Amino acid sequence: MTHPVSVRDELLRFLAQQGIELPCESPDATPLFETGQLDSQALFNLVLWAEERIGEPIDPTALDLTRDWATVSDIVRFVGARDRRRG
Amino acid sequence: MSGTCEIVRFGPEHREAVAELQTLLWSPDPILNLRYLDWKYVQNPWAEQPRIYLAVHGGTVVGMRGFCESRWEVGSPARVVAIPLADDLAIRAEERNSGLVTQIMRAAFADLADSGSDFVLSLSASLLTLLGSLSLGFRSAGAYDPVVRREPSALRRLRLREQLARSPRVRRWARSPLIVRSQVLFRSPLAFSAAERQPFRRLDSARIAGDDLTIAREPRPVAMAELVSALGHDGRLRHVRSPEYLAWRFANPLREYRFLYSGGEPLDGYLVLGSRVAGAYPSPRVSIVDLEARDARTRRALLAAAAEGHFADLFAWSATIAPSDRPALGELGFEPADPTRAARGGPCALVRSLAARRPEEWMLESRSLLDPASWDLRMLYSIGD
Repeated sequence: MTHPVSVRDELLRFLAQQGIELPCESPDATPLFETGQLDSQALFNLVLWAEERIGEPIDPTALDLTRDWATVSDIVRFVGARDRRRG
Repeated sequence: MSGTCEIVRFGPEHREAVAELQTLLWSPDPILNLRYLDWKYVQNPWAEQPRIYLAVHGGTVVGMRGFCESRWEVGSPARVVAIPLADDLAIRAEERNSGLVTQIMRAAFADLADSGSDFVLSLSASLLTLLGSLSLGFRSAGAYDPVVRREPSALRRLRLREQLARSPRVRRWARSPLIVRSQVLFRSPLAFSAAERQPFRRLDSARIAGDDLTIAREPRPVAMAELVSALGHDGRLRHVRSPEYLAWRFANPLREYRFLYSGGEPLDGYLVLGSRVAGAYPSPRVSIVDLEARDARTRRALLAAAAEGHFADLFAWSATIAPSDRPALGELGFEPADPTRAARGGPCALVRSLAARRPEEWMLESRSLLDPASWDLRMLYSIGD
């Protein structure tokens, strides 16, 4: 029996593709911006990834990125909330 | 690799290295880049020691961010404050995606705070730089809502170029360093029409634009500053427009300007048009850099004269034009320049506090720096017009 891929797993796979290395023991809670690994190109790709997930454009200037997208958990929560809002 | 980079402050010994690095951003010509560097960071009326932060790896400059001196007036009576303008971010391709931008910016923020600055601004960020800036704690101070007026023939050319650009073979060819450096594209009549390569040709041949308007190649800094002063100040944040600043500002070696004047001495109004002289890639764009006039009728006449220049691509930031004048933009054929990017919040002015303050406390003279209504922004102030 196969399970659908969760948003979290998809995001972790996406970040790995971007060359962002997260510690195996706590990938969900690792601060993404503090290490500087998430540079502007990777962040741009991440915005596109999130837009594809929720099906609408994201205005990053309306967010506090360092707080709202601080960790993998925060991004999963953000995408989940937008998904639910769209119904 | 950035772990082994050292962040240092610019000194005269770095001039050539910066000019070479900035072939990524300013122009393909290092000699022209040296002139731009000196103009922007040495000849700037408020410059002391250039605030450029360099990432150096094994003795080679591999990245930089500059902070251009600027002076702003705010409140009534106006208080003048210094706010550095973040600009000129360039990182060598092999050093990207490595945390180097964060390393440079953290060093810059600490040094700027030590030297007494409270805030930094970024007025001309590309989408990538915008995202990087947001991740470093910048916040939007308001979108510019860019609009463009395109001649129908230019629109057809643009669509053809876009079609060609989608072809992988053409894209590879057009972006090859040999083609870019030798400016083959820029010279090719197939790629750009004469009007696009020399956007001011038609305007220059007109000389008199009618309705008491004149066209000039030279700025009139004293008369322009007198007009700005005579019109008064509503207390919003705006850049100081002194004769010294205006004379320096329009000496930008990477730009060419034309000035539409209304009236004689004193002036009733002026409109400044700017166009890129030499960029990493050619652009036929002409921008409305600044507009001032004693009344709405004169402002409208100046905008109409600019539209009559029949530029392939006449660009403006509608949010920086007085609300009462914005309907005139639509009547003159301007339309939103990039709705896709507008939906993503840009382009916009960015601000960041250098001290640990909550965003609600980012204030000057009781005005919130995050409220677009606090600002009288103009493309003039962004340097990269």
